[in-house]
Parts: sequence; C-alpha cells; structure tokens
Amino acid sequence: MVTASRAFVCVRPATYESATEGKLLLSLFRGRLGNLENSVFALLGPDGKERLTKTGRSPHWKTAAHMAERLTELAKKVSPKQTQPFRAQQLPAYPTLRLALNVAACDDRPLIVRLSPSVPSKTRKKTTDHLIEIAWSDEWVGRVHYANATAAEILALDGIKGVASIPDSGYIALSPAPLGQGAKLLGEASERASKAQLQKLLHKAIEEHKVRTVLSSRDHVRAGKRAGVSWETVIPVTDPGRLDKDRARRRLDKDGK
Amino acid sequence: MIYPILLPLLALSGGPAVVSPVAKAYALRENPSERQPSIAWMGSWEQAKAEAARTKRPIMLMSAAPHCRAVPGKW
Repeated sequence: MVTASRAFVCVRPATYESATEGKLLLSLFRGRLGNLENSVFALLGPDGKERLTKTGRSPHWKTAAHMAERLTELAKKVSPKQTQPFRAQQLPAYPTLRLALNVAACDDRPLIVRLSPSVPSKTRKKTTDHLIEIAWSDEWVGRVHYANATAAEILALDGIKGVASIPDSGYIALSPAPLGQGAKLLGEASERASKAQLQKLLHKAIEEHKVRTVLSSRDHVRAGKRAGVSWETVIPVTDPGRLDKDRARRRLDKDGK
Repeated sequence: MIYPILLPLLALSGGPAVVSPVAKAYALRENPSERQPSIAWMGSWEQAKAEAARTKRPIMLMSAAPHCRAVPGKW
C-alpha cells in the first residue's frame, strides 16, 4: 500500500477543522442525513475535481492488497509518464501546531517543528530545502510529522514549560503527549543546520519518541475524560455516530444546510 | 465508527496494533526501530492540490477526525 500510494499526492484533511475543507469534503461525500461524516475517502484526478472512483466514507475495496492493486492501475492510467515516487516541493506540514500535535498523537509519531518560518532568509530557505528533501526521501517518508510554529507557541505547551528556552528560529523535535495537548522536547537544530544535522535530529526524534501502547478507543476516551481533556473542533461535528439522528437533523436545519 | 479498511490505512500513518486494554495506560515500548516508511499525508487540501497540479499526479484523499468522542489523540 505504501508503494502504491507514492504514485499519488496523498492528503488527509482533518474533518471539522476547516470550514473550507469541510465544504470540499461535503461536496465529495454526504452521509445519509446529507451531512458531513467523520471520514471521507476519494481518489481524484490531478485537477482535484475528476473522481477516479466512487467516493464514500471509506475505501470500498475489501482488502488493502486489492486497494493497492487498483491504486497502481489508476496511477498508470492517469499519469503514465510518472515513474518516480511522488516528492513534494514543500513540507507536509499541518496547518496549525495544535492540530499537528493532535495528529502526531493519533499516529504516535514525533513532530518536527520549523520555528518562525514566516521570517524570510536565504540561509533558512536552504535549510528548509534540505528538510523537504529529507522528508520525501525513501528513508524518511511518512515517519515523522511536521508543523510550523513560533517559540512562544511552543513554550505555551504543557510539558514544555520546564524547558529554559526555545530558540526563535531553527528546528525542534517534539514527542506528543498521548492526548495531543502537550509535548516533550527531544532535540534542536539551528536554522543553519546541514542536511546531516537535520537527519541527526530526525534520528534522535525517532529513537527518543517512545512508542506508546495503543489503548482501545473506549479506554482512551475514559483516560481523556478523567484528565478533563476535550477537543474543540473548528466547525460542528455532524457525524450521526456522535449525534443521534434527530439532533443531527435539528442542527442541520438550524444551519440551513 | 472507523470502517474496517480505514484501519490499515490509518495504521500506515503510524501506531502499533491495538493491544489488551489491561495493559497499563500509555505504557512505553522500547522498540522504535519498527518505524518504517509510511504514507506521507499532506495536511491541507491547498498544499495537495498545488502539488497535484504541478506534478500532474492523481490525489488520494482520506479525511478523518482526530478525536474520539471529543477526546483528542485517537482517530
């Protein structure tokens, strides 16, 4: 599946975390109540519009092997000249630190944060280009997550407060807390870091991010409720799994959808 | 509810298999070498659309909610 996926541009929007993306997802798949459900799956053409297969809440193949086979066929048909694995010209970064930490916790992956990326600098661009090259290399693809943030945002995280300081620029590696609300600092690299130094940071992140035992959903929810942790979505959750049918209908009617 | 074929897809994004809930909550395991290359998901539609247009490649989109009953840290 991983090999087959590399012929595609793979995107995983977080459902309910963007009004714009919410509209897109709803245009691709509506649940039985006409609402946006927790997950949406689609294979689209390079224009982002043409549907290559039926869209739905999840892939419709019975096994991962069948799905991989079909992905390969579709990729050959849509872009026959592309023989190399996909490599983007940008970091696969999540839009916000808050979301990136949560997703990193969901996936149990370390998070590499590029600090203050909005400040232009030739040196910073060179180092960022190194990181982009590493992120899409065969060795590192998909192994860590990425985000952009400021030092102040990092210092405000739970679990980071004990750290004396965070550099204003450069790169840091974080290990997300299980509930995605905080993190532990694993390492740093300067904005002038070489490719080798960045790779060292990623190795450190992988080695020091301790793999957690995954709890069942029920036990995870219980742990979160006990800790008083609650995730506020950007747009309302409209999955009927969370809202009973009547409540979902009322909310949809109220929103005029 | 996470549909069955989503589980292998999400698992390719990270995370070991689900184990007994009897296990100590969030116990740490010491074998990080099992981390292998995986699906590299882009985190935003705009990024993905631009890359697809640039490279003329198809797009695989799978959205998921990063919370379970409003508790973050679980798909």
